[in-house]
Amino acid sequence: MPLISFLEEFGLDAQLIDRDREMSAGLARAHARRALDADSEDTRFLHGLAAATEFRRAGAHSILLSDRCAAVGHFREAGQSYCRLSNPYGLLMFACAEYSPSDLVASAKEFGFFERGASDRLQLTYLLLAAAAGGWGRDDFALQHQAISGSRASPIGVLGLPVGAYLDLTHALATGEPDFLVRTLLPFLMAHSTAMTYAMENRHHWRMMAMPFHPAEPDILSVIFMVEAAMRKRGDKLVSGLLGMIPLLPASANLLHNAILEHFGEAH
Amino acid sequence: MIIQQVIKGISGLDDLAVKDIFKTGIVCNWWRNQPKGILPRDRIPEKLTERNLDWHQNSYNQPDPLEGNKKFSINTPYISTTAGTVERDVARRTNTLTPAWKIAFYFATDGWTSDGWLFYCHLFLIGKRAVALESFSEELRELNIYTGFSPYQPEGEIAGKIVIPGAQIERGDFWSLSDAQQALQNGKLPFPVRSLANSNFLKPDAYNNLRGFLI
Repeated sequence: MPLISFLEEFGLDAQLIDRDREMSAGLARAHARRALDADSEDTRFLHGLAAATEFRRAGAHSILLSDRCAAVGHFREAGQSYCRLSNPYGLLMFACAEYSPSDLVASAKEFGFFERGASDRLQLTYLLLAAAAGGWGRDDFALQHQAISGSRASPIGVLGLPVGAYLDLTHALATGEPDFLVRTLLPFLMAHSTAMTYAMENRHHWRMMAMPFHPAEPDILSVIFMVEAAMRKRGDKLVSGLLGMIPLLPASANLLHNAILEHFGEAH
Repeated sequence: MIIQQVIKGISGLDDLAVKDIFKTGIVCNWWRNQPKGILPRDRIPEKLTERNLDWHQNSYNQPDPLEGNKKFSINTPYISTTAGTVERDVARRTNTLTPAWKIAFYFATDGWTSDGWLFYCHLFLIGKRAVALESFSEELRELNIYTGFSPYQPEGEIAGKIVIPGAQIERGDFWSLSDAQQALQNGKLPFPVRSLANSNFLKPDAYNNLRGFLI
């Protein structure tokens, strides 16, 4: 069954999400236009980031609505908006836009992240993760690893996962060992389950989706998609099998499971 | 004391109702739902509590055992407004601005389903918790005051109490949903269609601490 058919069960309103998606996409385009016309760097940055945020929200809404085509379009726009601002976080958006791991590395090259680095040191975390998913080894990025090794405890992203969690996953991807991957992916799955548990307690705001955490949280889904794609390239399906084995909130497991199926074109 | 500009979004009003609000103020649901519209002032101390403020922010539509399991929202003594917020985004190493108008517009249109009014008001803050003091609003968005985690903090909420008097409401802006959608389709940010000024509004210049010289 498509993800959209579970929304009522999750306490969400498909029509409201559809309306909000339209507004977010419209606001994203309006901000993108302002960024293009901006005559100062600050204004360009502010509107560029606002555009990226709104495209990201429209993309996540599209996942919930099982609208794969729109999700790809919105996440591609979000990725380009972030990357234009020298934020490798955009690579995670590309992962949601069905870019293959090797496409992610090509995008990182296209935006000059390998030569110029990122707008900020912590942003290197996302570059390293995308590179590892694309098959690059740790030795290829020794300097970047060194640059953020002292920030392992720093929280990043909407859910505040530590940089160390991303770096461990990067290491696991490089080794390709399934047990290591499962162990390093668990914090991401548990973070989604926990965030969803607490967000659902406030039924009014949950239904209105008036919160920064999104049920189809791109910070989590992008990581899952990258790991799953990397494993499938090696002939294995890791995450979809794993979800049934860990005691996540059932709604969280159900959502992630269906999002994976739809992302890889396996939904019935 | 800080005089804080906030926005309150309300749907389903005509011009007459807006002008009424300019006189009576924006009242909380608890008062509005009283029989004959009479406020039981003797119950205010038991209503303005930390517990109810937490329910207002985090359990708004849930059954309240203190009110016969009716939805908490029916009897809330607080009035949600927004002043926008800046959300610290460590990952993207930036502070993300959520403008007040966007949040107020979303709630004013009841989730993008109708036209709505945005009321521009002034509330009084004292930079710390003052839950039992009716005159001062609670800055729920301020993490240095309300340190507990709330997933809804980025709404930028400032909670008024019992009533926002007419003298503190500057104007009401009418936002047409279809016009806003049209603007967005043309790649422009939306804007209000028209505005009603409140002649009962008292400018903060008249009562703030700036003492003018004699002329």
